[in-house]
Amino acid sequence: MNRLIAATLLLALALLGGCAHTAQQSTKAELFPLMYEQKPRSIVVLPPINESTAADAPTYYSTTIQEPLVFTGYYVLPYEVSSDILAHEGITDGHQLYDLPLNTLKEYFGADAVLFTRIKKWDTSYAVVASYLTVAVECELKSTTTGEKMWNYSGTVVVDLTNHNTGGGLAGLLVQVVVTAMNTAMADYVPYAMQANAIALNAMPYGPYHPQHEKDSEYKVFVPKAADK
Amino acid sequence: MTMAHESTHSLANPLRAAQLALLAAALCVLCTGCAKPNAMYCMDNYSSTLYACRKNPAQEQQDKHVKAMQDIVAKSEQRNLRVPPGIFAELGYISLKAGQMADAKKYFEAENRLYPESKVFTTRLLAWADASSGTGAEKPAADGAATEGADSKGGVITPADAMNDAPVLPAGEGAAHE
Repeated sequence: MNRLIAATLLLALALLGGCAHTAQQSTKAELFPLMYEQKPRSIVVLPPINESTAADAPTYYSTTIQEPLVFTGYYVLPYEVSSDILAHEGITDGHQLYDLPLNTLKEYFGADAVLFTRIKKWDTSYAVVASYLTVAVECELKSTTTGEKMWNYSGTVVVDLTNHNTGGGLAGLLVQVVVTAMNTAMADYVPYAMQANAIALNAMPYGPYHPQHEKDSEYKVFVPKAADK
Repeated sequence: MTMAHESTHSLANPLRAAQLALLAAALCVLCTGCAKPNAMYCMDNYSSTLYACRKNPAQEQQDKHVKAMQDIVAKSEQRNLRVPPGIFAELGYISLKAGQMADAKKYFEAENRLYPESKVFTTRLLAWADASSGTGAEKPAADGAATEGADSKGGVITPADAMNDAPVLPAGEGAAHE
């Protein structure tokens, strides 16, 4: 998993490096001052809010968030437990709590912060000879004490599923269509969801169990295009 | 030099770029040998066994996930790492649902000791385990499954029961939102 994160960061750096002159950077402390003021220690993750076209996206996406979040250095309540308890209370979608006061989550779970995750895209676009798989997620951390948004960031991974190594000509085209269709059918979104999470969580100030805790305020991250939502 | 050249070259194909980056990163990690000293936690196969449970919610997959978490505990201890947040609590919750209250309590106490941030949560879970084990007759973990089997069928408290004392939402608000 560490390697996967490292790989994603490397990939993100390689990709972002190309357009660094257009994207604006800022420090974590400038972008997310409340994280350094309120110093949350524990996080409860709510069931994902699904804005994608895939009905099963939350089921699978929710298996990808616990592990990378733990590595940011916070105490993360086990999602398998907290979500089961919430489900018995009729809460199966983070959207249900998004506009409500969150202090009840502080009282029940003892969590300083709530992580909302939004699945923006989880699909494959088809074309005759090309198809692209896209996973896009947006993460938002709110304080259970004040209800304020303390942090948010998004991660998008686009994968070209087209096999580019087939020969030319009509036969080649046919082969390519078949291969693309097969790649699409077999496409597994979860590894890419993990990469999208890694991109988003890389911008989160480190928590108390991380060696870089409170030492990362000057770390630079790219300013999200849509800073406020 | 070659790496930089390759990665710009293959930008047209993100999958290939990703593979190359993965390879490069794997090499970096292996070469510097920093994987172990820098590791915060061992999460091992946690995400993959959990994903397998979602794809196929059979007991067999659940058992594998439990085994993966037990391995995480063992490996963390071997490597002198802190057991990651939530692992003990999740193991405890599975024990609780299986009616193995002694095991459940042992796990919740471990989470509680390791992470003071979990106090509110683990205290609640411990109270729940206590309430579920009936009159509080202490039973060793080993015979828990056998002797408590009949008891726990009737005595298991569902999360909803346990929440009655402290509902997550004030009554009515959840419904109003819907």
